[in-house]
Amino acid sequence: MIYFDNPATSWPKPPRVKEAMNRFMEEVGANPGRSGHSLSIEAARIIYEAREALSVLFHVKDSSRIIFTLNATESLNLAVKGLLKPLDHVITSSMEHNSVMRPLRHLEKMGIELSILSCSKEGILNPREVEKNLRPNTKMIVLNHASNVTGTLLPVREVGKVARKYRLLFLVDAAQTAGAYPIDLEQDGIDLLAFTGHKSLYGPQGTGGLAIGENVNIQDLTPLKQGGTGSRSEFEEQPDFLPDRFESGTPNSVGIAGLLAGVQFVLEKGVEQIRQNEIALINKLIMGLKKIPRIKLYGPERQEDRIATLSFNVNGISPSEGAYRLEREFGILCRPGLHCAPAAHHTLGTFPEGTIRFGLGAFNTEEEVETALQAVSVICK
Amino acid sequence: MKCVFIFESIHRVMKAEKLLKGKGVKISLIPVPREISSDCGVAIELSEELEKEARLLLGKNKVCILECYDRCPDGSFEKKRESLHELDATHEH
Ligand SMILES: Cc1ncc(COP(=O)(O)O)c(C=O)c1O
Repeated sequence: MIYFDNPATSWPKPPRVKEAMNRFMEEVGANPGRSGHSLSIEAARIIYEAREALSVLFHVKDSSRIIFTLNATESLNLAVKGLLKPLDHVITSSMEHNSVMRPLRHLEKMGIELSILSCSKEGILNPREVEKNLRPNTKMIVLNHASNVTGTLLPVREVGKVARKYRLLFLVDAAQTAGAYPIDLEQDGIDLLAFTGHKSLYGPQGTGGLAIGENVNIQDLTPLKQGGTGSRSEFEEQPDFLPDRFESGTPNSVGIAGLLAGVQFVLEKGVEQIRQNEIALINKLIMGLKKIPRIKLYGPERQEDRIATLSFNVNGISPSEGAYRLEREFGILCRPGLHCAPAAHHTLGTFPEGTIRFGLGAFNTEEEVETALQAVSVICK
Repeated sequence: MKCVFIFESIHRVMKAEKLLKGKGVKISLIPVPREISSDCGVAIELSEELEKEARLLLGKNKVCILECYDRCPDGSFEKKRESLHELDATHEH
């Protein structure tokens, strides 16, 4: 079997992820920090270490500014709903995933103004577009770091500079890049970074978070939920300090134990090294696909403009049929269709059928790429 | 005599624990004694002789202690009166 559906959820995971989760279930298991006994403290230690590891990865100085959530979707909802008020103007791109688009469309109905900047057919955004679309009431820019459809990188650092210049909040959806592409909150000018645990951080599903930069006053960010935190238990009001303000209820501790192991794997291998390996493979894949007649490739050619995800179509075969044949005849697992990103497919001109997507991870090999190229050429016969 | 440090959040307790143990300061984590109005479930207990060193270390690393208590020989707790924020070199906001 060849697994090319890493942009949906990475698989397989480094063995240590399962081991860490097993250890948590067998030897720790308790409610983190709430109870004060040794198992409860050990659970809290694991969560603390996970925050620390993520703060190293994203260059966040104070790890209490890393908030755990269920996934990128929850983080994005927290950031936009917690900060935007009616009459605020927000700018986003036409390459966004529905986890950005749907909350923003929802807020638009509540009186928030929304501008969606067009990207090129490769999904590339000209950062100057941002400045052109500013309004006096512009409060936030929300940008996908890399498209989950084409792998196109969006100009986060340039847009970050615009955000700093005009004192706007800059929220980045790093679902596809966290662990696969270098991220530095300070240098990239990012105020809020939404990430998910189950993709390139190699953790389990049900883990994710929001990194909150130093420029964000946490009192301006309204929590999505209130509840028990194990702190200030004598008060009925939500604590106002980090991370407890945003982390009510028992967390997914076993998941976070796995996420910690995944992030340690990424830190040990090095994001740059992981990226280099993946880019070498995706280049090979792109070169090969380009030689096959009937194939239309989407997304940028230059490796500086992309991560290791690509989309293509076979003339005369629907994406779903193509993907079905790839699995049935060749054991290649990938994802056809719209990839939860209708806006991106409108941009590419592939709406409503979508595309076939191949997304690579740290465990894919050159042989797999070669097999996949042979498989696609058979389908194209 | 023992003294007990209380922190705002479990996150800070974990940070303090790692710092202090990393520097070889002997501490133990204890459930926040019932007599002390609880802020988070866990407190740090250490012997009085280590208090100053511990505070300096925590202050230097911006880990703010919320409250500090002496554990008296009769088992009761006495809150330290001096302002901890003045005592600590710096503290985390
Ligand atoms: C670009 C992008 N943003 C957000 C998400 C949402 O991630 P999650 O489903 O983990 O919340 C995904 C993944 O599906 C994605 O690819």
